[in-house]
Amino acid sequence: MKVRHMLAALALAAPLAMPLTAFAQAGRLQLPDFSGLAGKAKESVDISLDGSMLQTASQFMGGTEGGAAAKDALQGVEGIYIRVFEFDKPNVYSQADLAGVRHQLEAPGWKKLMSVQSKEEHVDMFMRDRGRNPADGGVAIVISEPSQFVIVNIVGNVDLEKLRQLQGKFGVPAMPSMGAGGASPPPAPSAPPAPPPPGPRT
Amino acid sequence: MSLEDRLRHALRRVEPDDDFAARVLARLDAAPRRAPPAYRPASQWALAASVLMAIFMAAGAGVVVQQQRERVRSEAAGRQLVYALELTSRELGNIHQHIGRRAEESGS
Repeated sequence: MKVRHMLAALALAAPLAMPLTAFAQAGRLQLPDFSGLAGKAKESVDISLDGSMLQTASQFMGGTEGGAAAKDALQGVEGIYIRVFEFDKPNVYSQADLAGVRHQLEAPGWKKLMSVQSKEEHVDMFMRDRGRNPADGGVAIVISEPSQFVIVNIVGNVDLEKLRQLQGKFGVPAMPSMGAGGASPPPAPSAPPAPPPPGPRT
Repeated sequence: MSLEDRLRHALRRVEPDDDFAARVLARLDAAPRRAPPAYRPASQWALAASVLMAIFMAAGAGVVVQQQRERVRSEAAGRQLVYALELTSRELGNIHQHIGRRAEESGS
């Protein structure tokens, strides 16, 4: 009798659980809480823009040079999550801090697009097909150097070429640049962007 | 005269003079008139209107403050988005360059 009741309860609960799974975003990484590192960092950036915030934020891009191009590139994007930490000296953070992120990228669905490993830097770029649910798609870039690391996670249908072409269109004068043997980093930003709005950290 | 007779004399019915009513009316006319009482209902309406106005003003101010906060939050989100796109596009550019260099090296 008890077993019957349990089965009935499960049958009733199953439809309730379905919407939760439908809203899950497989393209979104569960980024660790780096608040312990924030105090040690010279610069840190913590940006979490979900779908509604992206819509709100994109309304303020109309006047910028790359506004129209950005809106085009953001079509299908459902979230942008960025963590940047830059330290005064090397080895303040360890690769173990990023291991959790890299481990998630080994899950089925994520495909490695490219990887660069040298003494000084470790760059990984992954992409995930969206499948049926657009939020299941995404891009992840993890870049680590001895004194800084960057995690970029874009959820949704991402057009990498359109995103790449946005470079330099916003007139942002200075920001950490690193990875894949790119240009040498410009001076540290004198005015880092506003801290993200209060909300649950991922 | 006994007490009873004195009382009876004192309490006997006395008819007023013929001009008694006229004299009373004349004295009433001569008496100074009092000012009419303040119109209370009007003051009560004024008080109610003031309270309502204060409530509306407070509510309006609350809405303005809320809108201002929302605007500041949206602008901050806009700046973050610009930063995020700039950073992402730059890193993608670096990766693109790196892939190009690697292709050239393997080709040569």
